[in-house]
Amino acid sequence: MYTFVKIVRAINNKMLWVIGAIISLMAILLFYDVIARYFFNNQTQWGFDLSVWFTGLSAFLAGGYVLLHKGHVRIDFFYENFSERKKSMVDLVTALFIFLIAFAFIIIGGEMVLHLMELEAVASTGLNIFMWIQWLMVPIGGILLAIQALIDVINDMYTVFTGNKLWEEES
Amino acid sequence: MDGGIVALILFGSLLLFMGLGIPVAFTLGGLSLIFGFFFWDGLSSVDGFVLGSFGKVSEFTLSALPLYILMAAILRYSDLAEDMYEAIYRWLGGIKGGLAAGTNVVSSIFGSMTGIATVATATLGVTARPSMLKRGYDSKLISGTIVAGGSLGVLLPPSIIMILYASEAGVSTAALFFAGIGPGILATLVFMAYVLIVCYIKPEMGPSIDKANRFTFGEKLTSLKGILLPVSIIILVLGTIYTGVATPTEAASVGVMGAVVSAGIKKKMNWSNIKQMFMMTVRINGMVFWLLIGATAYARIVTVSGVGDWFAGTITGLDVNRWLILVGILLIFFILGMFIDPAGILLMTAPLFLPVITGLDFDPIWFGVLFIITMCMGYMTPPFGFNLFVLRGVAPDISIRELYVSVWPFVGLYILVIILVMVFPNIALWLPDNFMN
Amino acid sequence: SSPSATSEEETYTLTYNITFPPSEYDYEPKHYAVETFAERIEEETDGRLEIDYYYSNQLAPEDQLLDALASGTVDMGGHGPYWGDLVPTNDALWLPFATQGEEDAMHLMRETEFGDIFEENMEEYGAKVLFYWPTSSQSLMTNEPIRSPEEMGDTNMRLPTGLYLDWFNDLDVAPSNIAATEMYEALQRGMMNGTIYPLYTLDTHNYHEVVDYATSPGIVDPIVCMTTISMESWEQLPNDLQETVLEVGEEMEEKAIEGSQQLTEEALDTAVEHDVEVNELTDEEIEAFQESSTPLYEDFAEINEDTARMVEILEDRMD
Ligand code: NA
Ligand code: NA
Repeated sequence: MYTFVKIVRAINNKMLWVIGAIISLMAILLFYDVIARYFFNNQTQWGFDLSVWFTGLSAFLAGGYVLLHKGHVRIDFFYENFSERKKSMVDLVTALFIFLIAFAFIIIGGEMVLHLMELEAVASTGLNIFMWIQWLMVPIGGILLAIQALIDVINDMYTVFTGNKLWEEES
Repeated sequence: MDGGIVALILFGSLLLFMGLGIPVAFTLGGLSLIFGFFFWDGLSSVDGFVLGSFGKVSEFTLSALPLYILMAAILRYSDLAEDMYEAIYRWLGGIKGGLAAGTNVVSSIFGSMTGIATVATATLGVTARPSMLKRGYDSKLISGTIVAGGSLGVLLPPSIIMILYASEAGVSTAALFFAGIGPGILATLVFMAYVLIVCYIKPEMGPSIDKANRFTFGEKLTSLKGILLPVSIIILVLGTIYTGVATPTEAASVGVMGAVVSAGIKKKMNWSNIKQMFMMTVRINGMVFWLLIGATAYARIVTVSGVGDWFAGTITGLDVNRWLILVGILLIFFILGMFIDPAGILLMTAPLFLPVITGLDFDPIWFGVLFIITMCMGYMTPPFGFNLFVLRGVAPDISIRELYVSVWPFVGLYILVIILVMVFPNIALWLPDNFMN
Repeated sequence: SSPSATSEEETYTLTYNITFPPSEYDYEPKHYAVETFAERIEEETDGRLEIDYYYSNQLAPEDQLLDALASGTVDMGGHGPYWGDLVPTNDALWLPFATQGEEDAMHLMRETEFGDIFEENMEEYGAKVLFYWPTSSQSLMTNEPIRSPEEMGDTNMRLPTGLYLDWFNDLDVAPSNIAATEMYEALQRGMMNGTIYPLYTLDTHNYHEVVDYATSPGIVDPIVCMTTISMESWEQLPNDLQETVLEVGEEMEEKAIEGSQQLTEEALDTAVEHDVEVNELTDEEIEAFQESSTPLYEDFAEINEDTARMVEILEDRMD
């Protein structure tokens, strides 16, 4: 089980570099487009689509990372006074909500990916890649979020029964 | 089901689960899925949730968000922001509350760089807040200043909400942009007056430098070196937008490049700084987008449930003085703004309210400005205040309780601005009347 | 759709997502297709069928609307022929100068195999066309006068559909891909030289403030918008309600044709009022544009059997 916990945390932590790189690339690309249009009247045809896609990636892939680092904002004025055990109970309800959302993204998003694969639909507006590739971020984002929530559940269950934490999460 | 009861169920459960401490994004998303099942055709509403989420994050104008957050992170971790605040402090440090007043100006400048309300809040939360805290400013005053100033992003052009309003109301986008400038500047001045007065009465909230430690003129001049780079970035971005080189969204990339070069000049682009920059960017960006996903889904459910119709029906049928109807409509916007995202409120209510407004012979541009100012408040009013959450995400050490308390003086100031614009419509209409054709 | 009650007097409520903002005038085709349609349906069915309409993509984003219809998330849609990426035949309605005016376009859709192919492909994806509402034309709106394809060269224009990419390249037009919400400003500040956009926006969206020239007829004349219903929702409706929906739809289609013509006239008046110069293209000029877009027709025909047949029908009509 510890191995699983370790792997999940490692995967979501790695997203920092993936998303950081994606946002940096997007900045370079859009900047290049601005220059190319202004000076050469010739912007790239794929810049717009790629920015849109990268923005989506920066959103979907980050759900698990932000959860790992306790970055999803909560209203904590009652929560902060709860005991550790009570907090974990609230977090278990949180996990239910997260699973609901993540499963929606995994199942419906996954269906969309398969449907678009079957259709062999290609985005025609410039970045001529298969549309299922663009949609892939939805189920993957769902999975990253769900596995993070899952290991949090393990920790919270332990706390509910014992009052202690299995491991501490840095925020 | 009666609209009032539906509203009670929707907003009540939001309050309950948010109050318990479930993260806001998941409360919004989870409730949307649950209520979608009941109010919107069972399981097929789940498709709507996913399609809507994909569509939301695929809006090109939102590309500005990660980029400006990255820019802010670079400014912060290369100390460029701190240099700028040091300069402001040396020049205005003799005045009680001077740094907060300076922040009001900076926030309206950031508001003029983007079309969304989130950017200035995130940027100033990352940059202005630590600098002001360091110099002994009151944390609540700082939060209120930043959250209220950030909301100006939708009142000062460019503004995505204004573009949406213009298209719903069939009015000129340019006229609406022009109409936002006067009230935007007025709001900035009102905020400045407020922080200066408050700090004059209670110097501990925004202490000035005592006479013995004032900076010499030479020290003031030297500090201007620190302002050079950040100000060039701002000028570069604004110049790019207003000379037609790039759209406001694309201009965000110019801001990032400017920040990278400036940080490079300061020799701050080392590996450990870059990691800090990335950590801040990815965390805040991810937090904001998941909040957006939840808020969009929730607004859609509120739309389908007919709550907007119900609210509109309670007021538009009344046979009373037209000014009372106007105030009633703004009040409804204010109440909805406590729970839903402004874009959702606009699309949901525009078809219901706009015909009433024009029927009562009110100017749709002027009304648009009143609407936008009300939405500025919506970004900061509890329990669901988007900018509050953004600031919290940027500065987790602030308690939500403090944030919830800190905004009210500024909500009052926004109401003052609304009253002024209602009594003196020319604050909004003078510019478009004189500069359009 | 959500049927309620138990007897044969079941009532139905359909959600209807429109990709456009609310109408400004009562004569707009959109007004007939949405508000009048909903009223008339309620009247004709004695309230057994109710239509809840939502403007401005409130229920589903525009790019995802067809999928929302196919999955039954949204019951009805009011939209243009978007989604050529998903249903290639949709792009047929963006082919430059394929039709000349409302009557001509409606003849093509209603009286020829072209319309059947279009509708079959939509149905196969999961949405049934109920009726069309032509809506003015897709004008070339610019800040310099353009009367020929050559004059389009060396300009920078917003790419209205991916279909035009190769055409733009042939004509040496730099395609700008920017968000629709940022187009007004981009034209105002001269970031782009022009856009291919509905003529009526000169009036309803105040584009007369940001462009100096417009062509009439437009590149696509008319823009064929339509009201569709999810196949799933359609099959749930009893026969008599289905019939009523189609009848009322036919009624709206007739009114929309007139509305479309009036919309164009009002837009042209607005242009005159605000010093936007309208290039009334001559037959020869139209022919030149048509000819320049031949490769585009050829590319489109190559996609599949259906698109090939559609181009064949168009070519037969031109002769
Ligand atoms: Na702005
Ligand atoms: Na609020």
